[in-house]
Amino acid sequence: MLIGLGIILAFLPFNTAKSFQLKADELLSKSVSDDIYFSVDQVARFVSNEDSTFQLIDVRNAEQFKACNIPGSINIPFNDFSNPKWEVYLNQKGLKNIYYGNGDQSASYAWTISTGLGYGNNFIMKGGLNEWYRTVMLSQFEGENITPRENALFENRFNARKIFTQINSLPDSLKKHYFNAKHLQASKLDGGCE
Amino acid sequence: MKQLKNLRYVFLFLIIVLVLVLVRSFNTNLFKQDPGNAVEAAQNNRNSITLTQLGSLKTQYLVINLGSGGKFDSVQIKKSINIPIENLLDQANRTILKESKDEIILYSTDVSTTAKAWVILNQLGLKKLFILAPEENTEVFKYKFQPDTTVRLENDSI
Repeated sequence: MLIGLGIILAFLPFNTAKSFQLKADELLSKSVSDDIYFSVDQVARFVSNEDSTFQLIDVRNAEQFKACNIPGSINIPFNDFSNPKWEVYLNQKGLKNIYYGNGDQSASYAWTISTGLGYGNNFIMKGGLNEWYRTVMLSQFEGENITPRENALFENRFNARKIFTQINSLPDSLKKHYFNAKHLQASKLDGGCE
Repeated sequence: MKQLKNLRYVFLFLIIVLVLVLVRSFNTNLFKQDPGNAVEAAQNNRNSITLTQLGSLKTQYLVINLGSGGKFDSVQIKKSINIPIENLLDQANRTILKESKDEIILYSTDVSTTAKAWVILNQLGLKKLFILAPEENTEVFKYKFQPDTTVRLENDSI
């Protein structure tokens, strides 16, 4: 009996850290799917519509986040990603988490780790903030006749660009007031109490 | 003898636990690493190697091109083999990765693909695993935000 116990103890995983919950082939199969990506235009629409079912997660460092970020984002720097204090934000069943960095690398690390840990609803904004800037902030329609589809696309980009510029131009102390005012306005429109 | 008979349930329980522990220990499809290790190793691109560094590497290495279909590309590197990411965990490919004594360098034209594959293999316990850094560091912000100094809270936006 003692030998049996000894063998069990020898093989018991003593690693107290939480390891990935998904099986390896399961995680790989999720990671090769194109469904994990949102384009910057899709994210621009969520921003313009103030869609509250999405949580944007900026994985850049705090300094870069402070310089500019997509309105409504929270900052979880990748270098601090394994800190248990973030679990409350990462493991939310009701929200879709969209990760972004400046490019795709850090966001993909973050996506794989959070998905591996078993947190659902994870996505990546394809191309990161560089693609956001190139497409949403700088692109302009060039041509003579604009189709209704193109018109909707550029209007969406223009609205998101306006919100991005407004929010990021405000001093930090006023950003909070801006969001509070927005929420108040939204609750009034919904017929809620002030 | 009677005492042993009384202990048979204890033995049975121990055997079941032992089987479960052994199944978990030897199941190569389960992750057993601490995700914090991946975060630490990937911080500030410490897990990356540039093409120039690769050229001057003294140790043996094996480059794995993760591209598939039309994405299989471009940079021709000595000692590179193609393992499409979809097939990364096929038994034959697992054997190649596990038995390699050399440093393993993952490569793809899509940095997202390389990053995801790196985390998966890192968490499966593969050591000496690197990413071939793209020519241009995609994690650097190429633009500079110009604030609009006329923005006020009283604007019609709120």
